Amino acid sequence: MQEPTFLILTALAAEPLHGYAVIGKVADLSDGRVTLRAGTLYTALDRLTAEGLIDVVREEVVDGRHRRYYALTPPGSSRLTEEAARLRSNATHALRQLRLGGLGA
Amino acid sequence: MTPLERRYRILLRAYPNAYRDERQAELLGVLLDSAPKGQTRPAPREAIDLVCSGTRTRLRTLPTVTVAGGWCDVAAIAILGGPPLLAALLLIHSNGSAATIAVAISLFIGAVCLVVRRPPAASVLHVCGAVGFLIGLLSGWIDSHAFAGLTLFVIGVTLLHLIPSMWVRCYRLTGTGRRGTSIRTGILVAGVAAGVSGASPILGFLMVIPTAASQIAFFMLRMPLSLKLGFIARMAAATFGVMIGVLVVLPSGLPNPAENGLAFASGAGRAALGTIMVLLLMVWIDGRIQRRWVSWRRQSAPTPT
Repeated sequence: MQEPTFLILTALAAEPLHGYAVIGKVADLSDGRVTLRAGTLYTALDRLTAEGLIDVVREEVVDGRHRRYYALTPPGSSRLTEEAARLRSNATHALRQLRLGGLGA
Repeated sequence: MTPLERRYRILLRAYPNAYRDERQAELLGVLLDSAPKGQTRPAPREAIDLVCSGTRTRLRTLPTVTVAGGWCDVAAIAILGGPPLLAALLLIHSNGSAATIAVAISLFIGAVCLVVRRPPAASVLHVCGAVGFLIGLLSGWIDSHAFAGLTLFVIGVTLLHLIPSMWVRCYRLTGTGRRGTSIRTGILVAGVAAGVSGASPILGFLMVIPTAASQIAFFMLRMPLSLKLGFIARMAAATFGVMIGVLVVLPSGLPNPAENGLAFASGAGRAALGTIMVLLLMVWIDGRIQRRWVSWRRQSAPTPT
């Protein structure tokens, strides 16, 4: 799973968000490293929806702007859990190996 | 509508119409929300991202309606592609040309891709084949026999393209499901067999095909491309148009620029003009075929429950 995808799923883990809020949250989560652009975001949202990992939960119109709220589906949650576990295991191994070499903190 | 919104709307045209009907309002909302206050033009990176994402969406949402499907059809296309490939190999012996083989192979693989439901790949390969053909033509690698056969062929294609409803009717006549597939496969195989038996090796190379029966085989192959809605399929159709344009306007190729610069320039100009005309014509015709196809599908589709 690529980092933007991972971050989008993470952004949706706590609560349903609309597109613009996802961009903001992904920027927060990545400490400003990943700035999603609208086109890229929607390509990812379409793909994740097609894969059944996220779903539209409600729509509303605010100040004339059409908003759709996306949320993780149960398969999406388990996929994100798996991916997080994988990343944690990789990180743990990396730190351990660094310590073995006497290079890490 | 603010100037920024208008400009975003123009950029959003990179997306397919159906997609925009559904998502444009939402996407536009996100774009306008993200824009800093007072901005009147989209940021260049945002613009590039939109165009790229739009194009990607177009590629992804190309419908995969194919006339053929299943191994039975792959076999039929292999038979259809086989003779050109074989004849290309024969050509290497007679007046060797790497270009002809490249063309034959790419058209052949393109045909197979089409059958195994990979329309974008098929279209790209058809475009490559056509470009290879043009290069071969302009550099004199494709000989005059091949040239004459090809001219006849492309004129035939153009004529048949002028009757868009015929394509859809042909398809409807053969029916749907397994039976339809077998009938179309049968037509392909019969056409190819007739073409191969009637053609000399050189003419056989021209997928292209001098006999009427084998022309039908080729048209059956060309049809699914027309029925595919989408930008790339139209591009592929248009490249066939380019071939026709050049052939019709310049039946004997371009004169040598070193001998007669003026004739070369005017020939190249006419070829370019003819190409543009035929290109527009082909794109238009394919559009008509596709619209008829879609309206037929809509009529015949079972009502969703």
